[in-house]
Formats: sequence, structure tokens, C-alpha cells
Amino acid sequence: MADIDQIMQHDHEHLDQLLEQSAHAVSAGAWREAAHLLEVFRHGLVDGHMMVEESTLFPAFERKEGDDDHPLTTLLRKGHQDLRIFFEEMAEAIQDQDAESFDDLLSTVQTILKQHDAKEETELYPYLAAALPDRGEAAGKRILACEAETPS
Amino acid sequence: MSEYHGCELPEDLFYDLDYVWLRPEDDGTLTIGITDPAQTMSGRLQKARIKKIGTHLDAGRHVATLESGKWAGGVPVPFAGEVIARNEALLEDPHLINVAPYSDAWIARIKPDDPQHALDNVKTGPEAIEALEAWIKRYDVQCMRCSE
Repeated sequence: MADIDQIMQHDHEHLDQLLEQSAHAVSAGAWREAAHLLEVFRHGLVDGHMMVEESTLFPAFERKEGDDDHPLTTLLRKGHQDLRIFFEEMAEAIQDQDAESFDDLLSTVQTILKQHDAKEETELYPYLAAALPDRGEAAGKRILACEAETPS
Repeated sequence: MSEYHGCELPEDLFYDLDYVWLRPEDDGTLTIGITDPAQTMSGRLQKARIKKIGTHLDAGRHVATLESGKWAGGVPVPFAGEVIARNEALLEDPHLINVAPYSDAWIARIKPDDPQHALDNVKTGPEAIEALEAWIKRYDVQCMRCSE
């Protein structure tokens, strides 16, 4: 199995593709498909990726740093909280068949994700293997299982 | 007006202790904006989108989204209500938020569904200032005022 940092980075790319697919469906006016694809993306990110980070990876990093109020993980958790709200708003835009609002939200969310992912990939993931007792094997397996559930 | 690490923190406003300030108006509406340390963290803002007048927002939903070259995020409303005014000047010049976050760069005015409980989830006075100072310290923010 690949290292945890590689698995998490690959999952970012996988999830980006799912979001792009939903955006393409909106562009095509395929609203039901767009709603389904957005939910697949949301499930993979919120219930998979973020869940693993918040339950396992962030606490491991905080233990390693000796700071359970670390600025990096505090900022990343805040980012997750904001994204959850944005996903609800995107789902509502699709429900309302409001492509303009969806595109505005998509632009903001993609910017947030780009910056959030870059921060994780440079400041968090490289230090996880040393911070986790199993070098991240269990967390990696959970992410891979989620990816298998949500093929892009 | 309190100041910490160069960041202005008006004591008479209400804060969500993260990015947002609120000012109760005489007509029962609340004006919303983002704080001085928040605008500093955001960097030079280049894009602002604000929900249209008449939009109803549940508590926690974003009344606006802001983007700079290095940051993007939403402005959450801590209570449910309807947008009754928005600052059109920000749509043309989002950078105004970096210049005058508490005055000219207010973002929107919102009429709360339940005025009696609209401020239940925000803080004001010394308690708010102390929490905001901790926020500034945690993120190591040093505010700088843009003149234009």
C-alpha cells in the first residue's frame, strides 16, 4: 500500500474530478445527474476524507506537536466547517436549477479547496506517517475503501 | 476602540469570534461585516459576491463570499433572516473591506426572523475582545491598515 501522504493527495485529485463532473452536468442542464454527482462528491469528501482527517489525522498531528489547539488544524477544521455549508448551498442551487448561483459557489469552493489541499499536502501530510502508530495504514485503508465506493 | 497587534476591535460591536461582526440598528435590523484581523488574514480582496435583497438565509448560511489572491471564504450569518440591503460599492471594489472594514465596507443588513434571539450566538464587550485577541495570537496576525 502507498504511504498515507500519497493516498491522501490522490484522494484530493479523485474528489476534484467528482466535483468537475457535477459542474459539467450543471453546464449541460442535466440537473438530476448534477445532484447525484454532487452528492457522490460530498459523501466522499465529508463522510470519507474529512472524517478520516478529523477523527485520526488531525489528532495525531496535534499529539505530535503537543498542541491540541494548533493553528494549522484549527484553520483546517474551520475550512471543513465552511465547506460543509457551501456544499448545502450548492445542492440548493442545483435543486433550484440556478446555474448562476452554482457557478459562483463552484468558483469559491474550488479556490478554497485548492488552498486547503495545498496547505494539507505541504504542512500536514508529510508528517503523518511519523505521527501515526501504524504509519497511517488503517487511515489509508479507509480512504481507499471510500474511493472504491465513489469511482470517478 | 481596543487595539491588539495593530488590529482594531470596536468594543460596541457583536462578534461571532471568528470572522464576523454585527451591529444592531435602531430599526431592529443587523448590519454585518468582517473584522480587521479577518480582512488581514484574507489579504487584498479582489472579488465579493453578496446575496440579493430579499434572500432568506438560515442561521449559519453565507450572506456573501469573498476572494483574494490567496484566500476564499464565506461570511456566515449567525441567525436566520432576510437580506434587506447590501453594500453595492463592495461589488465594484471589494478592496474597500481592507481599508474600512467597520464603516464603509459593511457587507449587508439583515432583518432577523426572531429579533429577541438574533444575538444569542455572538459576544460583545470585554469577553468578545479577549476571545478575539486569542484568535489574533493563535493565527499570529499583525494588522496593517490599507490607505486605498
